[in-house]
Amino acid sequence: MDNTQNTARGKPRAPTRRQAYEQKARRKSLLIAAVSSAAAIALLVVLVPMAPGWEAVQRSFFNWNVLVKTFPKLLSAFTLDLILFFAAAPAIFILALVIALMRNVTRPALYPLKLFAIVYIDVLRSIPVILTIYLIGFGIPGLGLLPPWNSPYIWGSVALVLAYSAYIAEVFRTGIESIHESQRSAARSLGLSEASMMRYVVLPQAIRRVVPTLVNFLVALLKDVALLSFIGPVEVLRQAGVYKSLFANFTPYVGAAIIFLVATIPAIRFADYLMAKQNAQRTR
Amino acid sequence: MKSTSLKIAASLVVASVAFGASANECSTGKTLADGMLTIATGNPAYYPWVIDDAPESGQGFEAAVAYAVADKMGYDKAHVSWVRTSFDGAIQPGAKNFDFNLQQFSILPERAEVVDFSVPYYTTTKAVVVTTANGKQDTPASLSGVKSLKFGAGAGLSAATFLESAVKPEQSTLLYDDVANTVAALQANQVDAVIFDLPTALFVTAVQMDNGKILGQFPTDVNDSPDHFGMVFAKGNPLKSCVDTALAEMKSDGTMVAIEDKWLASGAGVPVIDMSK
Amino acid sequence: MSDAKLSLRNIRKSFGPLEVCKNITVDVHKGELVCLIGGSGSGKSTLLRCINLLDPIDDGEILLDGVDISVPGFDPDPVRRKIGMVFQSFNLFPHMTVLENIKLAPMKVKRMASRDITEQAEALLDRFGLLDKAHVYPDRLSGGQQQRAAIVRALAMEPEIMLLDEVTSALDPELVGEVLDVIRQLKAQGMTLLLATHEMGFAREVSDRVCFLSDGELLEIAPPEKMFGAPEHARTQQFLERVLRTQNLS
Ligand SMILES: Nc1ncnc2c1ncn2[C@@H]1O[C@H](COP(=O)(O)OP(=O)(O)OP(=O)(O)O)[C@@H](O)[C@H]1O
Ligand SMILES: [Mg+2]
Repeated sequence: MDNTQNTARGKPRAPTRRQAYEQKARRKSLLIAAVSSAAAIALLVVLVPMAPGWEAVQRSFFNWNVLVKTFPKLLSAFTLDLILFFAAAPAIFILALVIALMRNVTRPALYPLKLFAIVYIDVLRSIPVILTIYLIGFGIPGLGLLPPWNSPYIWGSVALVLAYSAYIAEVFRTGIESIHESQRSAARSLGLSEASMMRYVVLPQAIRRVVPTLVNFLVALLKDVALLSFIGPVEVLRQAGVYKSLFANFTPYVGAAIIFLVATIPAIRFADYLMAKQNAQRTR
Repeated sequence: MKSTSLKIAASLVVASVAFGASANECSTGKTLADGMLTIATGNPAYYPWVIDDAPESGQGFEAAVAYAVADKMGYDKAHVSWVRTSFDGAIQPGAKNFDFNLQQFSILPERAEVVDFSVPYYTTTKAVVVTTANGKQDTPASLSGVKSLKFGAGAGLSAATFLESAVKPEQSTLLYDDVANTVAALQANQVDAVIFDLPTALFVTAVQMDNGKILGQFPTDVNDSPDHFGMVFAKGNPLKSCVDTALAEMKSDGTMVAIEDKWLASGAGVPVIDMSK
Repeated sequence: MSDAKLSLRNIRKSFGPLEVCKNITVDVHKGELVCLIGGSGSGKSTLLRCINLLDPIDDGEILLDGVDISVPGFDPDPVRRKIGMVFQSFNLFPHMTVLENIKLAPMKVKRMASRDITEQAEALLDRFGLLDKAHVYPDRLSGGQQQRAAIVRALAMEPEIMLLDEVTSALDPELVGEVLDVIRQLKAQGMTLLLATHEMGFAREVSDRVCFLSDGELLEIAPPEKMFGAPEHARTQQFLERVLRTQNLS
């Protein structure tokens, strides 16, 4: 009632009844969320230290002295993770795109390509990444390659690229298939070749659509780079392991976990944001 | 709860006395299970420390040492039981499932803050293993010689820290989970040399590799070398003093030397790396 | 050989067991506007897609300026440059602005310089009242604006004939008029047009000839006065009665 009078009197700035209600509801739910989170955290902070083994756990996992001693070296070991990540990611992206396109060919003459892509994706997706790393990272250099071509950095990265490109090829494929058939018809009817249609019409839309999924895979990739430590490279996880064994203390692992958290959470939030944005667009 | 376990303990003591397996007074009431000594080793346990991954047989250096210690403490073979732990399992907080744990743990001051070590049961140097397949076998056995090598080592061993502090290799070291992977990396030419304790190096070059060669061992007076292996106890475990006494006895009465001679190849003749050059 | 711009001879097309085009023969002359009418599923879209070589025909010939373009293995891309096509919906590429939509084919297919095609595209947009939408993404356009932009995009390739497939059927009634205006304009400029439509009033007003398709058969071809006044076939009559009744009601 009030607000109709308000607008009638030409004061459009005053909140409508609905807006006022929503604002109140929002405030209330924010308050509830804040109070319940605070209570949960307080319980954790109070209760966990009351556990009988807490002191021992604290000494082994949350040892400030050990953390201070090891953290700088852990950080510098993490640069190796980043280097391997940034080397692998573009290669993964390109290879995955190529495989996805091969998987999508329709021309009978190119069927062998399609078959190869299917086998590639199936095989590499069914083998645990760690095994691929182990088999390729140890196996191929063992064939008698000479340094520097037998480097575990190279073959470990190759293994990551193979494994992840299979996953991401599938992501691209679903993206490509999600583009409405009439977009292809429209492109072809304009005289665009099959290749131009893919490049200018289908792929840009398909890739945009799968960006959130891609970001999630990139987060997983950053964490899986640590698996390369199995074949030699001393990246952050291995460095933490060395310190663990030196100090007989697990705090360096907690340090490594903190580094991964700080590195990946922004990316995860970014993916969520993109996902929410796309959903909003779709329902518009 | 406590009274029942005391009752059980008492009856067990009676039983074991009755059977004549006289656990000496030192360890009474200090072991995990009364009348039994629970000993942990690695999973798997490696030659030459344990033969065929079967410590119960008493075959292999550490298996033999464990039974000898048990014997000195008054536990016969039937009163020793084995469990397996990883390195992490040995150091994680919480109750331990072993009385003591031996799997070539180097005694390090940092570790001693978290667990207790027995007196050393073995002392060894670290040795550099190369292959004759990649032309590195003629590297001079000197500090400047080994500095130029690309090293591989086991991650759980103290070798990584040792390399960093005493050798400072020019290329970054690669680390592996176990001896087998470290040797595989050497054979795949991914590293020029690997570093092990001398008995493992002797075993690897004699048995696992066709073309392996020990380039040299580090002298006993650098940094953490030599390595002292000690048994690991939960921090504050009173059993430690009993084991230390047993080990001291074994050293003085010649038992230890006999076990070493039986299970560990002689390191005599392995050149010492010249740290001044 | 006739002087037809487009000549369909005994076209047959099946999807599996379903025969969608049954022996269709029709000529479209230069500057002529021919409407395809018929019930849903009668094969109008399929016929248009076949002409643009988006679907291969099973039998028959499609002659463009007397040249058989339906020979298996014939390179479809040059043919499609001469034939513009606009679909019922989802025509525009959503990741490109209207101008970019229009420029894509001339640049990638005809290799025209960006500057030249921009001028030409802006002239076209201006002519069809869309110049202010040049830099807007399709999702910001009304349905009618989208269809007009799609027609402009097809025109930018300077086609010799346009195929329009029910370009108004996805539109709100009040937006239909602006799109039909565009088609009238095209006809006035002498474009050859073949269009599938449900807008009977419009077909009656602008067509030179109307084709009635029923279950894939071309039952009747006649000038609009005859088709809508005194159709020969009983089925044509039935169809028109039904359609006209509902269209008058709405
Ligand atoms: N790709 C296809 N595969 C199988 N059947 C198809 C395909 N395309 C069309 N059809 C079938 O062919 C018949 C004719 O379809 P078409 O789209 O040409 O009809 P239409 O006259 O355009 O109908 P509408 O007025 O509803 O658009 C329909 O029965 C349809 O189900
Ligand atoms: Mg249709």
